[in-house]
Amino acid sequence: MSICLIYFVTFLFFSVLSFLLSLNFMILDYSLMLEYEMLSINSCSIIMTILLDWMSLLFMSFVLFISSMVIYYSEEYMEGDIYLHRFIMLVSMFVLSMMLLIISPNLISILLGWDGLGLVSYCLVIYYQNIKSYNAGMITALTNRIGDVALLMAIAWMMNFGGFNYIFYIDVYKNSMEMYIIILLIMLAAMTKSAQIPFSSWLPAAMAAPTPVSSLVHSSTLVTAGVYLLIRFNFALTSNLMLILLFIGTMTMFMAGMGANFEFDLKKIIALSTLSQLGLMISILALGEYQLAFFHLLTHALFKALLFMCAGCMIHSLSNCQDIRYMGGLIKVMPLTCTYFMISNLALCGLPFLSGFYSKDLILEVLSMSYLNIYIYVIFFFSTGLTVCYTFRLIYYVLVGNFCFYSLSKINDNSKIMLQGMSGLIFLVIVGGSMLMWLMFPTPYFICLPFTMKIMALIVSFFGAWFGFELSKFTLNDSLKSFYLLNSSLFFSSMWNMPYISTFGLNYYPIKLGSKLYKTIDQGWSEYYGSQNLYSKISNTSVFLQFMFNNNYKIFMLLIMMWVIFMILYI
Amino acid sequence: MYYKLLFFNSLMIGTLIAISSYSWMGMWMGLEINLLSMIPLISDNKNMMASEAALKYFIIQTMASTLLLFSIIMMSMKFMYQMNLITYFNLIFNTSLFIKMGAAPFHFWFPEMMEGLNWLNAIIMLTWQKLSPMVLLTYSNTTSMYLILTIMFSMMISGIMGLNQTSLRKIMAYSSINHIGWMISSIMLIEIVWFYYFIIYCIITINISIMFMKLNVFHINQLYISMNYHILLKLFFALNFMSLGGLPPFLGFFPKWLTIQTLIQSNMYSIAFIMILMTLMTLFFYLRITFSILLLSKAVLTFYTQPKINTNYIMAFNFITLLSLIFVTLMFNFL
Amino acid sequence: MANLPTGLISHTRRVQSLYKKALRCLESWYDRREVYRYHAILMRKRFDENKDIRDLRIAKDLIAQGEEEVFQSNHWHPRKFPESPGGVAYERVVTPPDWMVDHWHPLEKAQYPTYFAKREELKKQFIEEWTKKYGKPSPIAH
Repeated sequence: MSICLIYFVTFLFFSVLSFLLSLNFMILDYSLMLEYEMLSINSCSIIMTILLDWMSLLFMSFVLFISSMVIYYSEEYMEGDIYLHRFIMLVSMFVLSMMLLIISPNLISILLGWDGLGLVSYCLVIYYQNIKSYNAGMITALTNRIGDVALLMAIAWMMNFGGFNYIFYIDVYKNSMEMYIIILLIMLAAMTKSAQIPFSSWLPAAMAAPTPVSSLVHSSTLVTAGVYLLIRFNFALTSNLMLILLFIGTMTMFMAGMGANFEFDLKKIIALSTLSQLGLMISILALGEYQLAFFHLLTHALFKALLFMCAGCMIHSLSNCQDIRYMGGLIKVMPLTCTYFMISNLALCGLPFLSGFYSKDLILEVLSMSYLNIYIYVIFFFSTGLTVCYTFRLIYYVLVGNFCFYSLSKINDNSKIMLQGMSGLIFLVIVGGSMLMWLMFPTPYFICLPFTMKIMALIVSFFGAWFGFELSKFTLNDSLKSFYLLNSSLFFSSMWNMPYISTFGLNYYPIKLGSKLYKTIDQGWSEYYGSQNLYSKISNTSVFLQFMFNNNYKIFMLLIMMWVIFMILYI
Repeated sequence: MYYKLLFFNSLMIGTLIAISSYSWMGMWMGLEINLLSMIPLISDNKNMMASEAALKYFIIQTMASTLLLFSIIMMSMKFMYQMNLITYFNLIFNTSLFIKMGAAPFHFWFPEMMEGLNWLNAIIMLTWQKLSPMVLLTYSNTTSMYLILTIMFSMMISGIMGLNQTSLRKIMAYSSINHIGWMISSIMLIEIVWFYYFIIYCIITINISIMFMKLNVFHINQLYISMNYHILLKLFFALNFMSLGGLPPFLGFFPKWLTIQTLIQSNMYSIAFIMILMTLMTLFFYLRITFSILLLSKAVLTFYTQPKINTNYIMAFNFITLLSLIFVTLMFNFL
Repeated sequence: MANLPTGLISHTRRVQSLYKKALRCLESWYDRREVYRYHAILMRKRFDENKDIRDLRIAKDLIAQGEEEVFQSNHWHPRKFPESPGGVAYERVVTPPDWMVDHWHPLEKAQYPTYFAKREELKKQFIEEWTKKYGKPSPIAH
């Protein structure tokens, strides 16, 4: 029995178990809190806490289900890899830390999961040991480290309140300036983990990881950790913070949607689409609808995992090629994979009655209902249109047209295990949205909108699809738009220059200063006034003294006698 | 060569007489016996260096004995007490003892003379010959100002002069001067600390010198060759130098610890500080020896036969010098 | 530094490499083959127009302009095969060298007894063949 199968069965079992428990808890409106007190210092108790309510159990069941499918899938994807065991272990460690994060309402135990996520995601990103992975892993780890530090600082600050169980203080955070600091730090941590705008450069870079990892880690679990943390803390967010979050979330959504239209790497497009959806979650959370954010988080986890798995299937068949310019016409050779790909893509766009529709449409309608300015409204709908746009561009490049890779290639749908893993998810991708909606919202949202606003989501989607197709279509003698607007294309394609800002922008002056200091201080003055000069002085003195002692023996004895005579004379 | 047995015995007896007699004259007599039996031990008819060393030793010790006798006689006169001059003759008395043990401003004869000895005599010079002057120093009235002056000189001279030496005997001589500085500082305060210091110093020095003697090396560069066939010995050799320098996990740390503690308890912070700082220089040249043979280079000669060494008792010795810090620290509870 | 110029580059080679760079650049912009062919022919025409220029001053000027144009119109994500340098899967698979197996722990080796027995045999054979071919290695005095 292979290691993949063992973990697949285990995770699937626990997934079903926690799903059933979650249903039970939901019906009974019940939550369970386990506390184990480790020690107590300075009247501040350090407690390992586990919180089980329907939310954490449902999220756990989804994460476990997706990870079980991904592990099953990677048996074929990683076939022949000599470090398969390490890979599976890392993925399981990752799932474990995610579990810890989900079930803990205590900042210290959250940090356990949080740091575990950071470390394991680093190990997974650098799984392939080339320079690209190394760079990507470094930027991932260091960006996430900012969030870890923020969380650590929040822990240190919470010591003032006699305990780290944030859930007890959730109502009083808004009231005092001291507690406000904690929620600021938590927000910073969540923004780094969920790759919101100043910190988003790591998410596309992290696509250097193997595709199953991207499917599990960088679409549905790791990046949603930040959103989950904010969902748990959402009562503590003040209105100012909400506005900041709303702004950042919408900008991220727009930036990522725009960037995905200029990207050519299959996985990076999906990663940017993840980023865009994360922006959507954060911004709806910032409007106060935390349940909707959670709902979208779950459905998004489903279809995004499947999307990545389909992409992995294609990449696997095309022998590691990820560039969509090499693809094309895959629908003829990989029909089933492409069907799944289309289904999850359309779920992402929010095609009615697929899972994405229920959450996304609800979010947009709730947004339309609320009292907001035109900027928010426009950017929300524009980003929705962009989502459809890059999706159709992707479909155009990958599924339709001529095949552009090597002339001699063997591409087919024979990868049975991968298809099985994907088929495990497809059911939930189709019905997951409606199912969750019936579960989570026993009383439906009351939406009352004029017809134009109601139909607006459909209109922008339609226009987005049209543009996505039209912009990427080639005619023989066409003028390339992105070429004639080269500067803006470069700006949008590089995520608003964020990778440069978060690497060179941060490093350039410190490294320059460091080299100067190294040259002048370490190798210069401190050597001169420190060890080297001291050593040369001492050894010169030694030479001098040696010279003195080369005198005649008589002279020293005379000196002693003079010392004695002087002493007698001075008596 | 049997005469050496005789003189070795009288050497011992001389020291014992010096440290156990009740009168200054008796002490002087013991010192003279000790000196006169050392001379034939040093001399070696195959080597001119040895007789030179013997002569140097004889001259300087005689001069010191003369000063000693002079100060004893002067101190026994009545007018000394009346005119309160006793302090100055105490200084002369101490000077003569410093000359005898080779403390710093009066040390010039010591490395010169060591250069002419073989290792066995060097061991005697480094350890046993220090005993009687030091014990006599504990018996005499001392002026702490003068002692501190000597300590400072011993520290600085040994550290600085040792840096450029390549002869192992000279290095051992300077290291001995350094330890004399420490020992004088412990004599100044608590004699039992001096006692520990002396014993432990003797053990470590004897151990290192025996290794030198067995391997028949006299200069640093010979170590590269002769240590290659005894890897364990090389390691122990290095660790012994660290012990001599007073690094914590080894025995050599213990007396330094006690001395520093007594110094600090007597509020002599600055002298303790300077002593520690100056000892770093001696530690530097110890480490230079050990690191270069451990890490830097290695020479293998074609026509070189390694002397056979019975390493068993060296290992036993090493056990004491390297590992017994814990036991010694425990032992301190019972004293 | 591998890309330091180590020799003089002739004019012909400069033109050739510029042509190749231009084609690669076009390839990443126009990603359907027929469209790319069309633009490649246009590019060829631009090169052909100036091929008869004998005055080296003008030719040099033109080539500098061409290089500038290629540099300015670089694609942000050039088309690369995955295993070629700069591609996504470049140096992705690390193959440990064969001699690593010799450094295994005896306990590890004991888990594959047949393989290692065979390996020792092969090694001996190799040494034998080597000595037969080149003679005994001279003893190294170190």
